[in-house]
Amino acid sequence: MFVRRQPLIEAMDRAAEWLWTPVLRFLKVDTLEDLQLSTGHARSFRVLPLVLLLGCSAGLGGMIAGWRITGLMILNAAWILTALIQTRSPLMGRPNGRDEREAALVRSGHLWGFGATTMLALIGCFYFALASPMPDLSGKAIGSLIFGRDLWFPSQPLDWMELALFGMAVEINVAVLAASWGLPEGDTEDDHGQ
Amino acid sequence: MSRTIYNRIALFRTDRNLSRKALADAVGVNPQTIGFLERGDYKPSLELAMSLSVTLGVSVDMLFSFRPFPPVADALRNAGD
Repeated sequence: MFVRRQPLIEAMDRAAEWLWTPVLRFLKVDTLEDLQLSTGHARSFRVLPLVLLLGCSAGLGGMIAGWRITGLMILNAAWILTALIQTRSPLMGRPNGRDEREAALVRSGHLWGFGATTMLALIGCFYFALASPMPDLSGKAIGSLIFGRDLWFPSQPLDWMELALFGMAVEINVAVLAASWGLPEGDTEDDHGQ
Repeated sequence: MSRTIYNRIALFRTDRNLSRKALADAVGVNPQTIGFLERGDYKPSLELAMSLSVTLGVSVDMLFSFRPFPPVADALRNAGD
């Protein structure tokens, strides 16, 4: 509690509680230790990464469609949730390290993740080739000549940063999805004893 | 091509009176992995298969097979005949 009132900091505290408490409750995070790597058990996320992928795509789509701030907020929120989920997923580390089964699960998950990201990057390269303004065409893009309208092209550093964030979110979410579906249904990561 | 590999890890582990954790510690994996192996949800590397066979004191072909192992009851019945 503050002895002297700090309206700005108190407002930030309230905003943080309002934003994060439901998220942390949803992820069953009760203490700060729950957020750390290498504690607790890995959980399968077979649907949530799909929702986050849709969220990231919606955010990027919003940015492109002109709802810049809304798109940025959705994309960044989906990215933060993606980073949180990764630490609770089968991709998480353990205090005593990964054994060969867990290492194989992480490898296959990231293979899918990087495969999906590479495909997106390749498609993106072709798109940028079409959408890039050409000095020889008096600043017009080839795509705008073909389709008859201007195509979105990342023109500011923030656009490129958000694209990078989108790529990372795709990689992690696809990896978590692949690793989660690689585990048997019902997640049997809890049998310690006999 | 992926063939099913059957195993008798649970049988020999119980026979040796070992918990999953004890066996896992002995072969250097997490206890969950022993459960995955016993259910046939994970195929071990050659190194892990050999470590398991050494720890359980049996040969690798007694522990793993491409064909299903006969039930213990059948083996006991045959031994009694």
